[in-house]
Amino acid sequence: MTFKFLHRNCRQITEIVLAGEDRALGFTERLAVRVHLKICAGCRRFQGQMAVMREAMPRWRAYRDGDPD
Amino acid sequence: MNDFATAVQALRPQLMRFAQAQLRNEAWAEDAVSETVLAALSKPQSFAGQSQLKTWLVGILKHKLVDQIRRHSREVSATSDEDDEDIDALLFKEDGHWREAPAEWGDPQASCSRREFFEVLEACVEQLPGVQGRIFMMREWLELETGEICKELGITATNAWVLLHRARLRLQMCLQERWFGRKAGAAA
Repeated sequence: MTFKFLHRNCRQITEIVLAGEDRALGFTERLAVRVHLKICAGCRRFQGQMAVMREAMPRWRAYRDGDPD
Repeated sequence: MNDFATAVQALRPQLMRFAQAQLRNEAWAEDAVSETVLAALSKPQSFAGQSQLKTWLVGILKHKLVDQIRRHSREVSATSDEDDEDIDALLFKEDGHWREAPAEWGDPQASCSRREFFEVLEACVEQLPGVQGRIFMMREWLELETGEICKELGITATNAWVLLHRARLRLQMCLQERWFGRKAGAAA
């Protein structure tokens, strides 16, 4: 592949995707993720899992803090 | 004791569980809960018209927990991450490929509409080891920004990101095992 500087393996992509939950990603990081996700179904699903977790958090807080039991 | 005081005291065990999950220290948790109950009993009028007593109390508790974290920041940050296991090695081969590719979790809405899902999620969060668990809960339950977490604990941003990274991976593994990997959680 050309654009060798964008090449990352799944472990590295996972690390960037996780970092994105807690800090702003750099331009190269975002580009590397986008390139990798086009060809990797596993990492695409991992990114989807993080989205599920992210969406679940506010609802979890509401459940935890408000549920009378 | 009046009804209000009785109702507040009745919620004490639950507040204690929450405080313990956040602080991972019984004495500090006890302090935070006592301060919460005292604050609540001294200004019952401020509860008037609020939705739920528990929600109101948890709101007070969260402030008291931040106070405790601030007070004991040195001890908290001095505790090393008890998580010795190399999570990356569990998930990835040496060449950086997945050992087992992640599964499809489906539509977030589907899981989030189920009460059982949150019970599992809560159990997974409370099982996160030591500092990882504390930091993850500071971020996702107390809703502190990473910058505030670093300030309160006197740790570097990089350190906080590493701990949050591990916590999120652990949570992902736990949810896969206890929810999405089971029939009950499969997106139908």
